[in-house]
Amino acid sequence: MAMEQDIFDAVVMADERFHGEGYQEGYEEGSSLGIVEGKQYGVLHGAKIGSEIGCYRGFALAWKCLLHSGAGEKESRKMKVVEALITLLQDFPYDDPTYEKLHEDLERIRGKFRQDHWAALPGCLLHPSIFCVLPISLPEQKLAPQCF
Amino acid sequence: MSWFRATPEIPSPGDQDVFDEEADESLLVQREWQDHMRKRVQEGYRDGIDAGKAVTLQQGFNQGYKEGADVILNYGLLRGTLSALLSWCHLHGNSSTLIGKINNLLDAVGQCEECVIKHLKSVTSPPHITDLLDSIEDLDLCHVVPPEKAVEARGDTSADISTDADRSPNGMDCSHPECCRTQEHAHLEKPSLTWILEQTSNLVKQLGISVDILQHLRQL
Repeated sequence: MAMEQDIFDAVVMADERFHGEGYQEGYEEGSSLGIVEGKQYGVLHGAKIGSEIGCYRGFALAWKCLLHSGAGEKESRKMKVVEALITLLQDFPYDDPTYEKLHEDLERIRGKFRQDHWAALPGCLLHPSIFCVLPISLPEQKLAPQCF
Repeated sequence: MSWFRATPEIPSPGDQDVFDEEADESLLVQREWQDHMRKRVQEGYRDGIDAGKAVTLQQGFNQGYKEGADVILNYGLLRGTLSALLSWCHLHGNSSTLIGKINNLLDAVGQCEECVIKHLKSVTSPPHITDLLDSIEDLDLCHVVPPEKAVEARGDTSADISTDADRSPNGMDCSHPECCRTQEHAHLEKPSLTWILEQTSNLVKQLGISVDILQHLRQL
């Protein structure tokens, strides 16, 4: 009886020891793979956000400069919208993947971009999915009347 | 006498059979044990990989996310600026030639973005401080127009034309798949982005717009 117990323990211990050795080796390999795979996913998602936010920021800063040269009531109202957008963008921690309100704030920025005050510009030029992904190309005759 | 001879013959075949049977059983048991242990090692290895990944996947994602966002933001800034110029041109009924130029520059920016993303994905080593500083310096070199070039840009038109001719091949290089595979990718990228910035600057002057519109790009 004692002899059988000893043999049984030896078998179980050997079983666990072999499993443990494989586990340890796999864990080290898995840790390396996790960094690499996670980083690849992260770069793609981060690049998407960076590209979109960069587009909005570049667009808004450029238009602020363009509107600055113009004078008039319409321009001042548009300037307020542009400056509000710039403020939103400055406060948005686009490069922090752990930010809890990442998607919420991003939607606010997108919504601000589509505000009615931009009606003076062709609407499709402002659609994020269009100008952030595809180059914008429009026939001239389809444009709205000039406002400047 | 015949009985005596027959007696020794009977035990020897029996011994051989017994020996063979024992040997077979021993080998079978040994093989089963080895197979069992090999499976245990493989199971442990798989479990270990899953566990290791679970711990570091989020860490890798966070690293890659920040890296991708910070680098591509600058290309987004340039694209957004070009989009603003494009909408301004449409509003003012500018010539289709200038509009075509802006669209070409937007295409070039998109291609540069793709090259950079592929490059970032292929780099597997975690970034060190020196690597990050080098990246920042590279970005500065890419995005800031050197004073000498700014002076050159203000020169006569023929100088600008020759500059365009010299630079455009670099811009085209970026559109080739080889661009992403060659070891000189990082080197090729800088002239290409610089070329885009120079073209944009020239375009702004042709449109009669203040160069201040590119101020946020120079700050990068």
